[in-house]
Amino acid sequence: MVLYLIHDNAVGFSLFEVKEFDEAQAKVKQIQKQIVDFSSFSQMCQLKAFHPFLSADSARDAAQNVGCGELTEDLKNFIEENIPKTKKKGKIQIGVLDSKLAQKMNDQLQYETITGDIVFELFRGIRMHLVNFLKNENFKEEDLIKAQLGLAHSWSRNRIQFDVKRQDKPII
Amino acid sequence: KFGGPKGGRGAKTIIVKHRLEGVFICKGQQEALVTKNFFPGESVYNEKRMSVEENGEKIEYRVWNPYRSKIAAAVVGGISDIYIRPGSKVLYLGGASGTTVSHVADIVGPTGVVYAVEFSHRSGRDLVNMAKKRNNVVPIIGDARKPQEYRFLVGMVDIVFADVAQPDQARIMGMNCQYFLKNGGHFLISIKACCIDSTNEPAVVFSNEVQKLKEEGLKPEQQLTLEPYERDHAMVLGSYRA
Repeated sequence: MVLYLIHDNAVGFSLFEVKEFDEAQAKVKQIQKQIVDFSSFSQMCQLKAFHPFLSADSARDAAQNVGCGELTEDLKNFIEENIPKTKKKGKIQIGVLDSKLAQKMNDQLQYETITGDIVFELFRGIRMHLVNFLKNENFKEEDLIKAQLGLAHSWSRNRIQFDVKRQDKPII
Repeated sequence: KFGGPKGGRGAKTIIVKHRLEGVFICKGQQEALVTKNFFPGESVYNEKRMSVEENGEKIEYRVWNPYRSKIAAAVVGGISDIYIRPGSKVLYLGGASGTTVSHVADIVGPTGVVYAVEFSHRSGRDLVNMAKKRNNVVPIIGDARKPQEYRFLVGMVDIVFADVAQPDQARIMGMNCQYFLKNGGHFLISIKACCIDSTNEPAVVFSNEVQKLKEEGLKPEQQLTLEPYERDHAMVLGSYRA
């Protein structure tokens, strides 16, 4: 069984591969230990593909739609290009953070998806070591923060601008 | 004995370091908590500023009022540590108009970053405007209950601070820590008793909340009242997966 993980952040989508993954046998405690150290985690989980957002608009589009559990064309293409197709059941799984997004992937793409505590811990590990994983792409932590800053401004501005009521909803 | 750098208005102003790194005390006519202004020449919410000369360089400080900021109240009240220091990455839930956020940004300085989440659009607008001048503040207009929605915008952080005043704030804290707080990171949460349960005694509400935080996998270590600056408020400090 091969588990693929699709991680999304301010700079782009990235695909990770966990070989010989067995959900039934994996234990949360053990994975929590394994993700702490980059050398042990990178043996378990490897970066397979990276798709940077090419413009600020495409980044915002992804953050807004994928963040709310929508499957965008961009993400669909990225998955279909990089994850091999197989007819056999139980050979490939995709780990997804958001259960809404997982449901959409299940329906629209012919892949099996899983969510849950173990997948969550793996994503935590990826988030923790993201800069180390993307080292080969000449990527530094400042670049990530800069991307987050730019994206957050455009995201927040967009939310304020297109608020229909332009006023607060009363808190009851 | 009255050496010390001169203040902007001719009064004798001396700035000394606080026990906590990145926080300062101004000893003038009145003692005040201050932080080093990240964007000199401007106040964020009409707070007082003073500049002193240090090694021929002018440095500006801003007064941090414990009546207006719960973190400042905790610092004055003698909290053991706030874990917010120069270079820290902070996730700030309930940023409101960004008054306290601006002081946190002063402390973390150019090498740190503050991710400030605010739900209300009205105060969020002020937060965004404040962030335009402070490039270490990442303004996020979003719902702290849904960390998955803003996961694109936030990286792993050293400390999570929450001032959301919601009945389910322990759960909000737990979720955000699970997503974004490093192993061995810290959390700081302000609890307003009447926002959680207005029928119970504040002390009971606080201990219930501490229990709820434990159930979320957090490890509360210190509890501090914010009297006399805020009524029936407590600040709880703790660690995560240490």
